[in-house]
Amino acid sequence: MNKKLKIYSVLFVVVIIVMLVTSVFKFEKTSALGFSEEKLEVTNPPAGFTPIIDTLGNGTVITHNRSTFSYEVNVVPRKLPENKELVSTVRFPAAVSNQTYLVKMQKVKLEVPTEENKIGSFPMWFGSITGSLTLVVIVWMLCIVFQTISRIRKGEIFVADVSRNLEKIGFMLSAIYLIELITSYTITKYFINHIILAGHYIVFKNECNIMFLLTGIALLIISQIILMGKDLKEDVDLTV
Amino acid sequence: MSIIVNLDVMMAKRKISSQALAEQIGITQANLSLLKTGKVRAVRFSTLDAICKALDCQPGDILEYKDEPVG
Repeated sequence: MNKKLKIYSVLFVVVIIVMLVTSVFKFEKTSALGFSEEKLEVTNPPAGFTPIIDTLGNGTVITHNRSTFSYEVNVVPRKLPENKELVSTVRFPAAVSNQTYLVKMQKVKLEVPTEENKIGSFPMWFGSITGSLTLVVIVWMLCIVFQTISRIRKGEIFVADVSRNLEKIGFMLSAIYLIELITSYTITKYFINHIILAGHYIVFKNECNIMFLLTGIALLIISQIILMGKDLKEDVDLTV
Repeated sequence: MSIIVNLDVMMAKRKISSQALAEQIGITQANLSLLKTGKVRAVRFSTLDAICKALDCQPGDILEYKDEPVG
């Protein structure tokens, strides 16, 4: 078995084990404890959040939504002061009476008008840079995929170029997963360090699609198998 | 590889062309050329048998082993 094939196979097994372990044990980093003025309530939105209403000369009324900064974060409910809980009334269509349920939020979208944003622009510009990088990798990867398919259609399957291309695609898929993971972790950590959310801890949960990584590593393994196939084909072709 | 193919030497001794030999042994001229230059990975016994028959020689007249130093 060639050296690279061994390394990629071990990597595949390691990723599967890590995936299983992290699905059983929750490794979560959380934000700080609460603050004295924290509130979690249903109320009218503050002035800066209401849509902008313009009245044109001919009397037409146009409503614009304000530009907002928003980001989704994973949360875990925190113990509230005086043992209070977040509750919601739930109605069952056929039931005689309503029922009260405790609300345990897992994920929230924080939204604020852009001009009032005090969180800072780091999440935006960092997300834009890594998003652009991911886009470049995806476009490059698609070019290589088309190149590979055109070679395979010509009947050139067990050749060094196809193996190299599959290896490149494998590395790129793994890179996309890692870029997503680093972006998600870095931005969530920024939120954890800079804000305290009422009633909840902000936590990092790895929601990046691990199939990108597993498929990437699988392609690395397949590239080495194609290389071995190339050697076997040469043995057959160069036998007189 | 440490196996040296001396087919061209034997062909010169027997005064036979590549085309004629290739036709006699049943392989293409391209494969015969690969064989002469030592670029093949393996030779079937049936092919070796046909070559020896065509050139009236022994396998040792065509194939030679030379121990190449490592590195």
